[in-house]
Amino acid sequence: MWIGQFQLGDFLSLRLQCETSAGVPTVPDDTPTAKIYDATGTLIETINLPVLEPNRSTGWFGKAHRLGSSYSTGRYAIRYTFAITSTFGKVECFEIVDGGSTTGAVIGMTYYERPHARFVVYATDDGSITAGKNPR
Amino acid sequence: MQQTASYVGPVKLGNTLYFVIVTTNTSDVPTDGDSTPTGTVYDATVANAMAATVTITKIATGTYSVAVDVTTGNNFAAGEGHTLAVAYAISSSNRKQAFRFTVT
Repeated sequence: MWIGQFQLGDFLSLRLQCETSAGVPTVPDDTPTAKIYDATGTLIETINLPVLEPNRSTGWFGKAHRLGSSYSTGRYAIRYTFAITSTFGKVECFEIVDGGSTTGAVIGMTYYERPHARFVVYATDDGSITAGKNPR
Repeated sequence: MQQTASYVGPVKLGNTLYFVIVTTNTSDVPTDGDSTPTGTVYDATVANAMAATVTITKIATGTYSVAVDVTTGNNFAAGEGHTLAVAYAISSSNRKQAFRFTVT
């Protein structure tokens, strides 16, 4: 149930195999969810999990979820729930350690010069675009 | 049926171990225990129960958060591995889940 240590801005790999109590992979009655709780038991987020490889795998769901501004360093737990006639569940836990950024990694950057200053414009995982100028 | 203890990760000495358990009925459906589950931490030899308090709190149906203060005051030391057993009953049927963690 331990899935590791992460930094802010990292992507958490949420994966769920829906199966019956007999262990048979089965398409659930509705969209499975992953609820993430912090160390005080407070619900941080509820994430709907999309289906993965529907033509090759039965009941296989997942999503890459970015650890953004809702998170800080500390331990968290994930509770997956899905229903096949009745509601089933499983849990995982992880820790966010120092480092990283809630905006995620820089995924694109450009540099340009003007007579009065030099500029860097960059985009990050969270979709924000930021400009830096020198001299300020 | 033989069951293995689930690993719930490393925890730094002085911090709080935290994870969540799901208690289920015989059909694997999350179900509340007859009463709040209780937890016991065992030392590295798994022979002796430690005095560390295990705090277990219900957060949803059949779902409980588990917290242990991993401090020197509770006789934890860096480099050790421990086992935590959580006991509960559903419809008067006694169950137990075991978890492992390491202190860093």
